[in-house]
Amino acid sequence: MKHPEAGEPVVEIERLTVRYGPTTAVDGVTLEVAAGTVFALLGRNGAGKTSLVRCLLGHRRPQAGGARLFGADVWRHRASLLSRVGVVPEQPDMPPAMTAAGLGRFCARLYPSWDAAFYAERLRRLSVPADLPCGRLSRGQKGQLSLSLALAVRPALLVLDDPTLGLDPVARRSILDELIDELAERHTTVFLTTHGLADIEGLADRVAILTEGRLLLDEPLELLRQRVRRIELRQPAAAVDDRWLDGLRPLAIERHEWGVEAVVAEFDEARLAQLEPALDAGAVVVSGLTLEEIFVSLAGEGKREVQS
Amino acid sequence: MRGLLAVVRLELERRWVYPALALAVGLLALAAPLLPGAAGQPPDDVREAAASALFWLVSVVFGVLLGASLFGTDLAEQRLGFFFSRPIRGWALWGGRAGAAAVLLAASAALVLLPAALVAQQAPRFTLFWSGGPLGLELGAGQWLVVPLVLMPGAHALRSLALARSRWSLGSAAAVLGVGMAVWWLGRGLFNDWALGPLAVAAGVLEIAVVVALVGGSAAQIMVGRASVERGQRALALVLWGVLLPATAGFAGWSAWVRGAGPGDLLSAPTVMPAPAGDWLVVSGPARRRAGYRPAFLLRPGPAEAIRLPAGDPFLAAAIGRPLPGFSADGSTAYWVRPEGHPFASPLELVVARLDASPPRPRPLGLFVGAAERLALSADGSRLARLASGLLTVEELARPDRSFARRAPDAGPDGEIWFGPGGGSLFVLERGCSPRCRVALHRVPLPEGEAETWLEIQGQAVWSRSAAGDRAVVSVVDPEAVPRLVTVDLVGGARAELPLPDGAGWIGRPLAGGGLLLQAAEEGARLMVADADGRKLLALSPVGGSLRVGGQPTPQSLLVVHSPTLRAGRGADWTLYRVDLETGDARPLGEDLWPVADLGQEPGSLGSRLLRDFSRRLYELDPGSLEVRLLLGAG
Amino acid sequence: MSLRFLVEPRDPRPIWRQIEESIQHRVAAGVLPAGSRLPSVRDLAQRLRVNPATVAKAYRRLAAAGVLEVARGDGTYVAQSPPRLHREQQAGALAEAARRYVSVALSLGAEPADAAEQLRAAWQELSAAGKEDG
Repeated sequence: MKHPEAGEPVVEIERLTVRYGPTTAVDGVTLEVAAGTVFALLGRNGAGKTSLVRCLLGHRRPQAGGARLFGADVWRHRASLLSRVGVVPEQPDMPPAMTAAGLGRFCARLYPSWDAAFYAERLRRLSVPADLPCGRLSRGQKGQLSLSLALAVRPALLVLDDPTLGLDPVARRSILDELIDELAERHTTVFLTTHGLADIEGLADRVAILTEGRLLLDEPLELLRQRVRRIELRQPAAAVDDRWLDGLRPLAIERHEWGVEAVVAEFDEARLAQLEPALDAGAVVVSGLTLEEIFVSLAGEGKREVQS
Repeated sequence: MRGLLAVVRLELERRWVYPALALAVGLLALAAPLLPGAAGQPPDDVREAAASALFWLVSVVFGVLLGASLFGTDLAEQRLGFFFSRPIRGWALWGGRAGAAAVLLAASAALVLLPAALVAQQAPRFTLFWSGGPLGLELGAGQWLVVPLVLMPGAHALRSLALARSRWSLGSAAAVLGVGMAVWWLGRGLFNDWALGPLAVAAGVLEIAVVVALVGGSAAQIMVGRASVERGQRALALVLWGVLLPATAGFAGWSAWVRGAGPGDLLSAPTVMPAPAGDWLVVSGPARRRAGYRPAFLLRPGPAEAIRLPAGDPFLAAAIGRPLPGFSADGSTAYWVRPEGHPFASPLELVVARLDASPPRPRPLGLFVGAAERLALSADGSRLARLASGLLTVEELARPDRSFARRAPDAGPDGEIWFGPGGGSLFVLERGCSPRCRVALHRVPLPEGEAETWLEIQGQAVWSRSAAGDRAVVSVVDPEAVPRLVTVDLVGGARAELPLPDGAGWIGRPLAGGGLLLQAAEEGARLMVADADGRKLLALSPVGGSLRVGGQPTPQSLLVVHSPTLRAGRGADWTLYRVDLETGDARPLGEDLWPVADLGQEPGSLGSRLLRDFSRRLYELDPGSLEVRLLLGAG
Repeated sequence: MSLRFLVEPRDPRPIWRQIEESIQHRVAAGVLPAGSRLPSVRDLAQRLRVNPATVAKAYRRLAAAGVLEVARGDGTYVAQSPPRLHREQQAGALAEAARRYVSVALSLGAEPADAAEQLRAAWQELSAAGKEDG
């Protein structure tokens, strides 16, 4: 089976809608992940991430819209499509009575591309006992086993549903190292959801934020970090009105004794430069935000928009 | 295919403990002869019996366990996603698991039987609860299949229902309950009508529907619902309802259609019970396209008035201890019993109907009778007597408050009761052959007074009573093997021993109008008419061959069928004659026609003129024109 | 050899640029002498916890600019004669970094003297470490 060319869409989600009774979990989401991209879907608990991933893997049929993998509808062609997909679920879901070795044999029968040597070597390296029932492994070992099962498929697409959830920092670090390894070696396309934003700060090429079932944004992380900035205006609040922020799309404005602090969504150097002559030199300090801060600001804005 | 095989192998690896446990249980059966109760019996038989019992235990327990954990555990622990995240098709996952579970179940069941069979050095056998003896595997397997086909998917469906706890599962639970109740209710109706054939047909179809619903439902649950409990539950519910509700509706339709059979649907009339007088009869026989169901009707063929009797063919119902329907002597009233409630222990409610009303309206009496009860209507149909275990109850049908009860002699296993002329007394004919054959006739004055025994004879007796109820004749072979003929005047109580012509054995019956009809007991083709004192008046032709006596279409005539051969049944050249009782002339009326009833019907009543052919079609003889007309039955 | 720089999450510049500039500065400062070997893309990505593609991009750009040399199948080395930073390039970068530092100092409410002292201390520490490494 050919690997998708860089830039070719691997994941296409179109107007996907999932409802549970009267509750809409995913509301008309459209997104696309190109081959070779590390795509991170962010969202708080209950934002609809898990429902979206379920549709993406063909576990669930959406009420409207659809999901395609490698260009084919995943609900209809799930089994054949998933032979090229490695999946790490939110909760490790291996049959608890099975050993890692047994799971390896099971998967070897399922996947034409199964790399048994890699799998065995990896378990040995991470000291995951191969002959112990999965149910008796530690949380971190289960996570590693889950990732090993996904990677040994030699997948064209890795789907990771919050892979570091509930792991201690060491286990989390180890999982991320493995992921980086995989990326370095094979340029695998990755679709991941996470709540640990710090973990993916340097990893994701593209991020999307899901709030209340809708996509708040979907853009390259680089661009996002460029446009969302913190501006500190070191002048007593009374001296300036807020019009200086016009056009920068302020997300949050805080007034302090020493001046005004604002997070803006559309940072524009030129506009700020126009403003600067009117202010004391050095009174404007512009800084970037961590992804976590960006997420909190934007998700908060999204919430306001939804409420109004 | 790759996925299916991988799933099967995984399941077999995962659940190897089932057959291992079964083998251990089978080895346990080898120790059965050591049990205290098994002493003195052949050890091979004891082992086989123990293995049989354990076979069922293991089959049922493993069937439930395997079924409940087929997908239920994974769904409950949200682990099914593991399999749906792999390249395994839904049908392969379902089929692989269900197939592996069936294989494990079969292997486990066989392994329980194996050790005992090896020790006994014979093929494994097992006993079914109802088979009476051990069956080979090939025979028993069909019955055993209910475990993997119904029990296992049933356990899975129940577990799924319990898991989802959505409105779908509530609905499913309600549907299952509703279907169960409907099936029980409908099945009870058919059973109470003794429509066992249609019931078996319905049961077979329902069984297939249940298997299809459960197996198809669980497949749909996994293939459509995939890892989602709720969606799977919905698919399961839709298939369950989609199959079971139409199947139940079909059952209801079938049941209604079967039970809606009219007298015109009767193909033949193997059971005919004419009223002693008048033109009503109880008739029953197989109905058209109803799987052998024999509805019963109280029928008046002329104006085609009919009342459907519950409980089907009364003769078949009598075999399970239900009282036969009956008429009053004047034919104006009929009674029957109606099973109520639980089919296996139904109380039988008495129903009466005045047949002179038009249309006759059945009246449930609110009285329930037991199986051993004797019933009789008074000649005018105003009183109903019930005798059970020496307690006689007389119900005044028009004035229930005047009903009364008293002690009375018991009728014995083959006895009967009837009201004396005028209704002022009740006769109890006590008859039975244990320990020795004996006939006794007791007269019980009503409402009170000492019961008198009018007759008591040891030996084998043929008892017959005149249509008017005033005389009875007992033909008996006493313990000394001497044939005797005794008449009893049922009005005054006088009894007389009659001389037997030729000193040979004769069976006597009272003719309407006072005479006696004598038939040679050994050579049946000799008939004689005598007066009330037994004096021979006339020998009737024909003579020789086989002969049966029918009713009296007129007081002066008698129907007789005769065959020149001694063979019985179809093909014996039976000819129906009308015999003139004054001249002895016999006039042939037709071939292969039999009178339905014999003496004891009022001359001219429908019962005295009813004929039947060998296809059990029912005919009526016109006493004037002597023409025969088809009443009932398909050509 | 260690590369004691961090990818600063609050830095709005793209990560590949942060890596690129750090290496360039170190080469310019002599902390990374000519011919010294850089960690592999995977190693650096793992150390910085960034996407290997990002590191690769920075390496690619530095190689194109003549700062690094890639020996096929062997590794990545600092070029024998890496181009120096332009004066204004250096000044611009310094000014931007200084603004960032001052903004942190201001938001922490530090006195200018303390801030300057910290700057000096850091300078000494890092340059000493660089010499040891070298």
